[in-house]
Amino acid sequence: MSKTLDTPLTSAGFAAGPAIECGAPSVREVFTRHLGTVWRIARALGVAADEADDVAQEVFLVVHRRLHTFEPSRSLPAWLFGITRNVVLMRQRAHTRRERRLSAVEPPAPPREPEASLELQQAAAFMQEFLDGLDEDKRVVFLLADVEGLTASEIAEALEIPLGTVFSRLRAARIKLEQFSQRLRARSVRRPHDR
Amino acid sequence: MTDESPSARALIAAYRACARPSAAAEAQLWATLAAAERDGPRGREDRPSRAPWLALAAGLLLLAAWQLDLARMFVPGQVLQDMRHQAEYDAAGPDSQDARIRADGEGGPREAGTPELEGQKLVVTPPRERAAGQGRGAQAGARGRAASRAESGTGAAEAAEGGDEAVAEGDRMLAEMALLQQARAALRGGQPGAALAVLERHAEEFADCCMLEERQALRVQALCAAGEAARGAVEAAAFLRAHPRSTYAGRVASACPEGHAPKDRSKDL
Repeated sequence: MSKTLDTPLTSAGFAAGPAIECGAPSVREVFTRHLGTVWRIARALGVAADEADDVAQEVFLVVHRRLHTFEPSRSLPAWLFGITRNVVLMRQRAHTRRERRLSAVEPPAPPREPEASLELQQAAAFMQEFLDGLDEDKRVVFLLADVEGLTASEIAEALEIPLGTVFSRLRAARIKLEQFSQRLRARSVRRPHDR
Repeated sequence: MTDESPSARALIAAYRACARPSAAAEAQLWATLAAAERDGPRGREDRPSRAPWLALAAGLLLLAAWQLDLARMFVPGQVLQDMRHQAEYDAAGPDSQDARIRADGEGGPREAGTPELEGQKLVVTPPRERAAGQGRGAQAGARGRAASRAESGTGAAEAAEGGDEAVAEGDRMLAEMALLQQARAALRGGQPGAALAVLERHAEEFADCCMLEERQALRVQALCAAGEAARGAVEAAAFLRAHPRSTYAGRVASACPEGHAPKDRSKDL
C-alpha cells in the first residue's frame, strides 16, 4: 500500500464506517459509528473488558456535553481518542486509590454472552492476546491504523507524535503480528484437534 | 495492509466484530445517553465558561490584597528607617530639639522658620524648596498645624500658592512623620507627657492616617514611660492583637514589663 498521510493505513477494508464529511455530527451518529472504536481504544489503553462498557459510557457522556466544541475540520476519531484517553487516565487514578483501600479480591466479572460464532470469538481472543503482548505505544498505533482505519496524520494528531514515529511503531507491530499469526498456524498444524 | 497474511487479516476482522460492547450493553449505553440528551442537550457547557472569569477575579482580589499587605509592611518600614536617620541627625543637637519639643508640647505657636525645624526636614527637602519654605515660614505659623507643617516641608511653595486646603498627599505624609518624630524625640528626652500630647494631636489631625501602627506603638511606649503601666499594658495587648506580626511587636510587648517595671526610655523606634 502506498503510504499517504490522508488515506487509511490499512487496505483490507476493515476501516470503520465512512468519515463524517461536513458539519458537526449528532451524538447519535457519533455513538452509532464509533462506539466500537471507543470500546477498543479503551481496551488498548489497558482497560479490562468488563470495564470498557463503563468507559465507553463516560466517553459518550463527555461527547454529549462537548460535541459543540468539536471542529469538523479535525479528525473525529482522533478527538474521540483524546477523550477516551482522558477518561481512562481518570479511571486508572481512581482505581489505584481504590486498590489502596481495598485489599479484598473482587469477584470475577460475569462471562459475556455469546454473540458470535465460536471461531470468530476465538480469533478475536487471539487478537486480543496479540494486542496484550504489545507495548502500549505500538498497540495504540496498530489499533488506530489497522483496526480503526485512521490515517497516519490522524494518528499523529491524536497521539501528538511525529509521523515517522507512527510509521515505525506500526511497522514493528505488523512484524510482530505476522510472527504471531505464523505461530498460531504452526500450533494448529501440530494440534489440529484443538481447533 | 498488503503485507499481512490472510490469517492476520482474519484476526483483525474477528477482533473488530467481537471486540465491542454486547448488544445489551450497547442498548443500555444508548439509553443513558438518550436520557442525558432529554435532560438538556449540552446543558453543562456554560458552567466551565464562567470558571476562568471567576478565577481571574479571585486572582485580582488576591493580588490587590497582597499589594496592600506589602504596602503596610514595607512602606512604613522604609519611612521608619528614614525617621531613624533623622533621629540620629537630631541627636546631634539636643538643645534645639528640646526647644522644638517644648514649643509643640505646650501647644504654643511654633516657630516654623527656626533653623532647628528646618534642619529636621533636611532629609526630605530639596535645598531650593527649603529656601522657599524658609521665606514663607512666618506665614505658615498662623495657619493650622497640619498646613504649617506641610508648608515648612517640601510642599511649602505649592501649599502657599494653592491655599491651606490644597495640601498634597506627600506633604501629609511628611507632616505625619514630623509629628511622630516629635513624639519620639519627646519620649527619648524624658518627656512622655509631651510625647502623649503630640500623639494625641496626631490622632486628631490624621485620623485616617497611614501611620496608625507607628502611632499606637509610640503611644504604648509613652504610656508606660509616663507611669501609666496599666493603660499601657491594655493598649499593648490591643496592639498585639491588631498587629501580631508588626515590626514593633517586640518593643510594644516589652514596653510595659510585668509588675509595672520602671520606664524604659531607651526603647525608641
